[in-house]
Amino acid sequence: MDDARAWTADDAVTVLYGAHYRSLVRLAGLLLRDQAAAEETVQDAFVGMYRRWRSLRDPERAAAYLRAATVNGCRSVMRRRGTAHRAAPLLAVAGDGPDLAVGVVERRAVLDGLAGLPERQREVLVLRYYGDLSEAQIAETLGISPGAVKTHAARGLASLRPVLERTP
Amino acid sequence: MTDIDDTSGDRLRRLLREEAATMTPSDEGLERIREKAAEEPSAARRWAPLVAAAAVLLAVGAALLFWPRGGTGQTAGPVASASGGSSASTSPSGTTEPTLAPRAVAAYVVGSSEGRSRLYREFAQSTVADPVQAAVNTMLSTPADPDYSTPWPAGTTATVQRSGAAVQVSLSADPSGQADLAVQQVVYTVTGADTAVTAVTVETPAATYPNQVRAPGVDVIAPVWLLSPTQGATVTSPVKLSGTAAVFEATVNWDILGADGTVVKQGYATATVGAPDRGDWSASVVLTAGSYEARAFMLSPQDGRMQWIDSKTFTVK
Repeated sequence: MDDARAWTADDAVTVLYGAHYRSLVRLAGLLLRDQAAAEETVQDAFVGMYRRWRSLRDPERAAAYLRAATVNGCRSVMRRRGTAHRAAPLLAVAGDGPDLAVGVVERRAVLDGLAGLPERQREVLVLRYYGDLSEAQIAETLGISPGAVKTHAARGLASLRPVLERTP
Repeated sequence: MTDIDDTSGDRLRRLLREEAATMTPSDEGLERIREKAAEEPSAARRWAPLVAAAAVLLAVGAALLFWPRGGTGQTAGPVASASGGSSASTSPSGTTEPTLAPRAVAAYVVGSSEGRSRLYREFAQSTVADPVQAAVNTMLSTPADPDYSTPWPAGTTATVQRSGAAVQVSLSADPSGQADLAVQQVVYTVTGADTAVTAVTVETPAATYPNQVRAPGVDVIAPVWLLSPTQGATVTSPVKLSGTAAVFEATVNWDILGADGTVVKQGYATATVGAPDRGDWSASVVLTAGSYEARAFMLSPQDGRMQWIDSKTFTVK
């Protein structure tokens, strides 16, 4: 299994699933605030990767593909969800009531703020601060220039600053 | 970056990680990926060399074009046509066709709720090489699920002729009523089997419906589909229920009936999108060994009655 070029598509899915599935679901979950939709989106990204393994043939390129397909898939879900449904996950969160631990309220306030940002800013912030990706990797994932990544990150963080400053 | 940015960034990093840690991906992901990869036939692997040179982002765009999911289109994914796009080949229905090892072929069938009929999709094994002919033959055979029917009389045969992206299906009998839905059944089946087909002419002894395209899914596809377990399947617990649905607030209800017809488990699932779009839904149920019937349905927004029940009987070993 050492030479990835010799992997079958099934091998590639198995190995990359172990390496990336969990973190991609969490990444998608942060973008969508809906774990079930996040899992579906990431599974579809893996199916896409499975189909193009012959042209990818490299775990790093495959990981980059999975990341881009996941972010694109999330965008489609958001789009189909439409304005009426966008608030639904937030309402569900509000119902949790008595179980809220210290700090959870603040975290949700930040996540609400994140959800309210323009799409690109939200994606850049999640890829950067949850995904720990470099500017170049984020640029490749989103298909935008590194300069645009910098701008989106700065604007997004500036919008969130007031609510971030209220967190411990 | 200033200190303030660093502080805000650090806080955001910590909060995102905390939030991420609350999400525990299910253990079924790999299995689901394999199921999905198997569901959507293998044309993409044959096409893969063609897109080998495409950049990753182009490939992502292609994925969105080739595998629309959850929309009203309900394509089952691309299927390479066995005739490879050659024009005007004719393959009559019968035993002289080229055959392949048995493989799953999807066809649309008819089911109804409260007197309204809509389309469902079923898989059957076929050895017929041409994917369109295989799907049409499957459509004309008796559905595996006794709740479904086909408006085409028993013994109806079909001839498929291709001319580029147009297909003509000539049937030996007329549908028993509901001609519009029967024509859409043919159109969905043909275009599902070969996504390169753009228009389907349906010819019956009594009428010709030229250059038909898919009607909007919301008009012809049943709002709730239960795709797994399949009718008559033997499965292990926990049993994964899954399907697609275009339902109000994306809420699909399900229950499990025991051998004596009583409800042993029930719940609801949230589809990935709500009506008018079609989303995927799934649920996992722990069951002891035995025979069961799974039902997926929607509750009427008016009075809460069960509508569009799709049911499958299955066995847990």
